[in-house]
Amino acid sequence: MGDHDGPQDPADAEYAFTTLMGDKVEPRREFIERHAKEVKNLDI
Amino acid sequence: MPDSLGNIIPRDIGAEMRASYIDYSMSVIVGRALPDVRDGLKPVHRRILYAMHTEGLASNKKYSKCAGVVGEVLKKYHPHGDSAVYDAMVRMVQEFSLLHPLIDGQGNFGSVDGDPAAAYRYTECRLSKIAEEMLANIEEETVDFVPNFDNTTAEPTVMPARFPNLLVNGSSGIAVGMATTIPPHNLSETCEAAIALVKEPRMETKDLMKIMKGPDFPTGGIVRGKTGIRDYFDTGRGSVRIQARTDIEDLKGNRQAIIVTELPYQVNKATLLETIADLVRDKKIPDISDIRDESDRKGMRVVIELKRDANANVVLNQLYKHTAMETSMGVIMLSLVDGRPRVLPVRDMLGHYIQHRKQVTVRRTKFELRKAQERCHILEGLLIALKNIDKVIKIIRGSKDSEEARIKLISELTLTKTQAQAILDMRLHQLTKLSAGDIEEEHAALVKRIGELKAILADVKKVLAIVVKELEAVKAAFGKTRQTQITSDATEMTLEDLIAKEEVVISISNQGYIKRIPLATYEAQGRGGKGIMGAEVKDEDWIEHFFTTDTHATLLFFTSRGRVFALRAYEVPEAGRASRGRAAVNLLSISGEERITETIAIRSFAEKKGKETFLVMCTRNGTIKKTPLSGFENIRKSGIIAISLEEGDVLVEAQHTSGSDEILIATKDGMSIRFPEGDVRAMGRGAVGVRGIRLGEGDQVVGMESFAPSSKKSLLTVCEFGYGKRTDLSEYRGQHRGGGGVITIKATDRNGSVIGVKLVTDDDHLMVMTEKGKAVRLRCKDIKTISRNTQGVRLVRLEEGDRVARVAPVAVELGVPPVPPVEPKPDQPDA
Repeated sequence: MGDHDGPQDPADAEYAFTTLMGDKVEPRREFIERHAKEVKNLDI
Repeated sequence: MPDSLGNIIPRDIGAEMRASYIDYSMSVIVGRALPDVRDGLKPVHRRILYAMHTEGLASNKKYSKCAGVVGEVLKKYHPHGDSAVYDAMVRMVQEFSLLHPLIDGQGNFGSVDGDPAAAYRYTECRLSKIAEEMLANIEEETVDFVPNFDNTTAEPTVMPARFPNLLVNGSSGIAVGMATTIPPHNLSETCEAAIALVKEPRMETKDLMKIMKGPDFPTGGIVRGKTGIRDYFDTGRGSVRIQARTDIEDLKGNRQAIIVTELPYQVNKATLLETIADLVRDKKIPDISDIRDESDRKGMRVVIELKRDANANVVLNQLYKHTAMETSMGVIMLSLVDGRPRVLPVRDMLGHYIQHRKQVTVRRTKFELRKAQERCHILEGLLIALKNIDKVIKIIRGSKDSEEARIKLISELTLTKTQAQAILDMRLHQLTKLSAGDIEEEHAALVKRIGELKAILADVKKVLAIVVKELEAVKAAFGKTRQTQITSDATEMTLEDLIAKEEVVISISNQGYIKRIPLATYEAQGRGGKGIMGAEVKDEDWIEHFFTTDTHATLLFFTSRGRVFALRAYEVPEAGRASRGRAAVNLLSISGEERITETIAIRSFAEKKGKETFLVMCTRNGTIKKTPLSGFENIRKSGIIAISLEEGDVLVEAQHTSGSDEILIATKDGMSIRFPEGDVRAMGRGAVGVRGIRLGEGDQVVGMESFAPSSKKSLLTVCEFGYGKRTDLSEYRGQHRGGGGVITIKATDRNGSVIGVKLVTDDDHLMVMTEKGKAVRLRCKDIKTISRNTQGVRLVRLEEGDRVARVAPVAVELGVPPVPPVEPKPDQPDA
C-alpha cells in the first residue's frame, strides 16, 4: 500500500484546496486550462 | 500505513482533488454551461429542440403539453432535473429573453416583472418557425450524432443552424472558473455580416461594425457609447452601458412626468419599481411624487410623476445612477470551439459559424448525392426491366420463389442485387406506358442533379454561394428592424450636461424666498421708468439679493452668523417674474435665527497654480477678512464657517478677488475708503479678520467692492430715496486699511442713507429693486458721472413710501469661459 501516489504532501494538498476552492477565480481558471486535457470522466 | 485496508485504496488528497476537479470543471464547461460556437446552444437547449423535433412538434402542428417535452428530454437525452429542462424551455419561449424565440409557447411563460411561468402541466409548446431553421437538414447526415446516455438512441452534437444563433440570440452561463455573456444581435445585421465575411474573410472589425452596429436587445433600450462595443467586437471582452428608453411628458399644474417605455435587457420591472419607491422613501430622490405602472398588453409604460419645480433631467440622471434603469453588461464572448472554451472576437465567431455551414452544406450535398445515385441505380434497373418486360415476367413466372427470381434476373439481365430486388418490388401498374415515361423522366432529372451535386462538391465557391443564399433566405424571412438604439455618447452624464448653461437672475427676498428667473424675462427700460413688477412679495418683504449668474454656478450663501452654504444655481427653483419663489431655508439647512446676508456666485472653483483667488468679506462693523477660494470648495449641506464674527456684527459683503485687487468700502453715511487687497493677509475660514474702515458714530458699512488697480470703472452709489451718481474710481485715492476714509456722496435728507455701491462701466446695466418689490433696469451710460463730493441725480422715481432696497448690476458678460463640471456635493448629516 502507499505505492499508488506516494506519501501525502500537505503543502501540495494545501495548494490544491486554496487554488480550487478559494475566493480567487483567476488561478482556478489557469489550473483548468493547464490541466484540461487530463480529464478522465466527462459527464455530459 | 496498515496493510489491512481491504478494498480501500489510499489516495493523496491533493491528487484526488485535482483529478476530481478537472473532471467536474471540464464536465460543466463542455457539457453544461457554455454554448457551442456553431449553433449557440448549450446541450440542454439542443436536446429540447431535438426532442421536440423527433416528437413532431413542428411550427405548423398542434401545441403539445410542455410536460411531455420535459419527459421526453429527460427520458432520452438529459439525465438531470426536470426543472432545469423546463426553465431552459421557458426562457426559449420568452420574447423578452430571446430576440428570436426558438419555442412557440401557449400559456403563461412569465413576464418582465419576474413572474414565474405556469407549471409544465399547464403550458403547451411547439417549435417556432425559426427553430426549424436551426434543425433544417438534420436528418441528412449534416451533423454528427452520438449515442445518448443509456445508449438507446442517438442525439446530435450540434445543430445545422441556418442562422448564426449564438450572436443572434446571445447566451449567458456560469461554468467553473469562467463565464460567458454574449448579447443578442440583430438577425439581419448578423446575417449580412456573415455574408460579407464569406466574401471578404480578412474583414476588419471596423468594417464589420459598419454592418453589425452592436447588440440588439429584445427589450430595446439605448446603448450608450460605442467603445465597449468595439472592445468586445475586437477582443471578445467589453462593457456595454444600457439605458432605459424614456420620455418626459408635461402634466397639469406645471408638473412633469418621466415615462419609461423600454428597460435594459433582463431588468425586472417590478423590482425596479420597488427600488425607485425605496429611494423616494429614503429621500435619495426626493423630487418624485408618484410612480404608476400603466403597462398593458400593448407595451410598457411606467409613469414617474415629479413634484413641481423638479428638473426632469436631473431626476432621470439620478434614476440612471441609482437604479437598474441603467445597467452595465460585461460582455465575455466565451463559447466552445472544438470542445474547448475560447473567448473570441465577433469576426472569429462568425468565421467558425461559416466554417460550420460550409461543412453542413458539403455533408448535405454528399448525402443528397448518395441518395440520388442510389435512386438512379434503381431507376436504371427498372428501365432495363421495362425494356425487357416480357423476359422479366417470364423469369418471375418461371421461378419457384423470389430468391430464385432474383438470382435469374441478376444473371440474365446483368442487374445488381438492389436493382433485381427493386424490380421484384415493382407494382403491376408501374408497367404501364405512362409509368415508364415517368421513370425515364425521373432518371434524366436525377442524372442532371447528380451532375450539379458533383459540381458543388468539386468547387468550394459553389458551397459558399449556397451558404450565402441560405443566409439571405433566413434574413428575408425573419429579419426585423433593430430595437436597441446605439448612441455614440459614452461620456458620463454630469448634471451640468443635462442642464443648459444659461444666464439667469437669482432673486432672494428679505424673508428668504429664492427663485431663478431667465434673464430674458427682463426688458431694458429707460432711466426713471416706473419699473415692472419684479416679484410678488408678502407685506413687509422685499427683494434683498438680486444678481445674474449662470445655471452651472455654485451659489455661496453667507449668513448673518458668518457661515456659508452652497447651492448650485440650477438647484434653485425656476419661477416666473411674479412668483415668490421657494423659501431658501427649505433648500439650505439654515437654522431659525440665521439669515442670508450675502450670496455670491462662483462660476468655477478650478484655479491655475499661482493664480489662486480669494474671497474678501466685510462686516457691518468694518472688519475685513480674506480667505483663499479653495477653502470654500467643499461645503457640507450643513454649512461651514466663513468668518468668525464678533458679538452683534454681521457680514455685509463678500467679494471674489484676484489677490492683487483694490478694495473699496462704503458706509451708510456716505464715507468710503480705498486700499490695496494686499493690505489684508489671507487667513483661514475660521479667522476673525482685521479692521477695514474706522466708522463714525452710528455709521455702518453698506458695501464693499473690489477691482483691478488699473480699473477704468466708476463707482455707482445708490441712496434710499432713488437718487444716486457715478464717480470715477480715480477720484478715490488709495489709503491704508483701517482709516476713516473720504466722502463718496452727500447723505442729505433728499438722498437718505446710502443703500449700496456698485462698480460699473458705461456698458453695464443695473437693476434697482425697491422695498415694494419693483425692479427697474437702468443703463449706466444714462447715469451721469460726476465728482466725488456731490449729491447725485434721480435714478428711480419711487411711489409714495417706497424705498430702494438694493442695487445689483446685470452682468453683460460675453464669452464667459466654460465652467468645468463640478460634482454636486454629497449629502452630509447635519453637524
